[in-house]
Amino acid sequence: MSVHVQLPPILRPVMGGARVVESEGNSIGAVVAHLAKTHPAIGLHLFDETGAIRRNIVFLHAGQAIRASEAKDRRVSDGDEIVLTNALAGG
Amino acid sequence: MSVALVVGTPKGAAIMTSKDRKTWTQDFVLQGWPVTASVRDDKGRVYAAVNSPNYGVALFASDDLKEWKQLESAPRYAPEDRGNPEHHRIVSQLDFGGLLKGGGRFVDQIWTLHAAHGALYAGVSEAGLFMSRDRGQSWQPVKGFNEHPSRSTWVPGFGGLGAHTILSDAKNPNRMWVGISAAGFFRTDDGGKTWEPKNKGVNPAVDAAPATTGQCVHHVANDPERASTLFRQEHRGVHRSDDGGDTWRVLEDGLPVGELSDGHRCSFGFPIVLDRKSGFAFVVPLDGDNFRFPRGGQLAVYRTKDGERWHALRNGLPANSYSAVLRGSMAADQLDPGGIYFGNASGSIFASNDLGESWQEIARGLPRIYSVEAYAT
Repeated sequence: MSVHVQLPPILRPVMGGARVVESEGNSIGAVVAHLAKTHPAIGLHLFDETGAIRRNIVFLHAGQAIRASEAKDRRVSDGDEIVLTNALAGG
Repeated sequence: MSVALVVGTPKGAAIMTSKDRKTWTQDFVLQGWPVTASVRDDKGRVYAAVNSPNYGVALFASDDLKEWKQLESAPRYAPEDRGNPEHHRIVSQLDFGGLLKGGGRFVDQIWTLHAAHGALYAGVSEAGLFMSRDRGQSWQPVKGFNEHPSRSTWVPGFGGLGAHTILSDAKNPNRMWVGISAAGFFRTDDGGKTWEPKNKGVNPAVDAAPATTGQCVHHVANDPERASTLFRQEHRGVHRSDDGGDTWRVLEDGLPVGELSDGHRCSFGFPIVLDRKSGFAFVVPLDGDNFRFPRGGQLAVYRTKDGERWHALRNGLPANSYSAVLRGSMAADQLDPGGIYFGNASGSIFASNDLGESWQEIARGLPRIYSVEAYAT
């Protein structure tokens, strides 16, 4: 199952400048785990030492914001787009 | 006599280059990443450490200071390592009050990078030491340090519990030193298996700490070829050791002395660097730990030629500077005559190509400057 993952600008240089990368999986958690497995450099930014998705990461999927803790249970379909971003901070 | 500076800021790294150390050009790379440290290895590759509260810690490498590629590995603690609650409290503002409550130990910043004897070393926060023998492709914890018997007594400094200084001995690969705020200064003589606190003669900054640890070391400098002579900028003044850190004595003759928040009188500052050819040491005093800016706003570098008495160097430095100079933001290029460089929290970089006799502001308007490294090219 192929899913499109849109990266935030700061992470694009890690993937050669790509705005959108392809990954696989039937949940958001599986998609980012596959991305980390195939591209370890970006995996450093997605998962912390405990193996959990970094807490400040937020995914936008089908018009909804999905927190890191909810990612493994959020189902995705073939061809879906996930926007990988982070919790907003500041004023 | 070409030089490149890698200047770490919260928004990326300024690359300052000059062919004559008079006229400088500026590039800005790793945009968006807080850049906290850099180092050049013995084959000429430069590494830069980045961190982000959202996306963690990583290392980038470059062979030309233009193209940077992120490494696939970075220092990381094991999931079972337990963290220091007080350090968590200090850095948790970056965590939205969440992750650290689990009690784990995390690498939230690389404070310093060091290259020696064919290896790379990273000093990190929460305090620890990691090494790589494959140019950063993999990192291993130095367990003898990270699990030091005194670890439970380590108390974080104002910026957390960070290992910010790594020194080596060019003639003895088994000997290294590491400085931690505010646990003190440690030395290994067996290649990192065991580490001894080396703080005798330095007042602890932490009242409750045992006398052997609890010193708030800010930075230490040595010449790896004459490694046992150490110059140490401590929260409580400047010190010198001539026996590898076994004993220390105060070295403040000529420095501005003020009153710290606890009433102790001494000099105060963060960086200390050494020009190896001349043997001169350099510091940038600040007016105590309450004010943390140059006294009266007069930015001044102090230099000791003989290792005993300090003299102020102000030629070309501003008289209205009210910002700090952080511990990692001063460097020497080790050319002849030596070039000295430092940046301040207001985003200016000052350069001297004559061992501090005169200074030139070579950049301004940068973000707060975290780190400066100078590489002869």
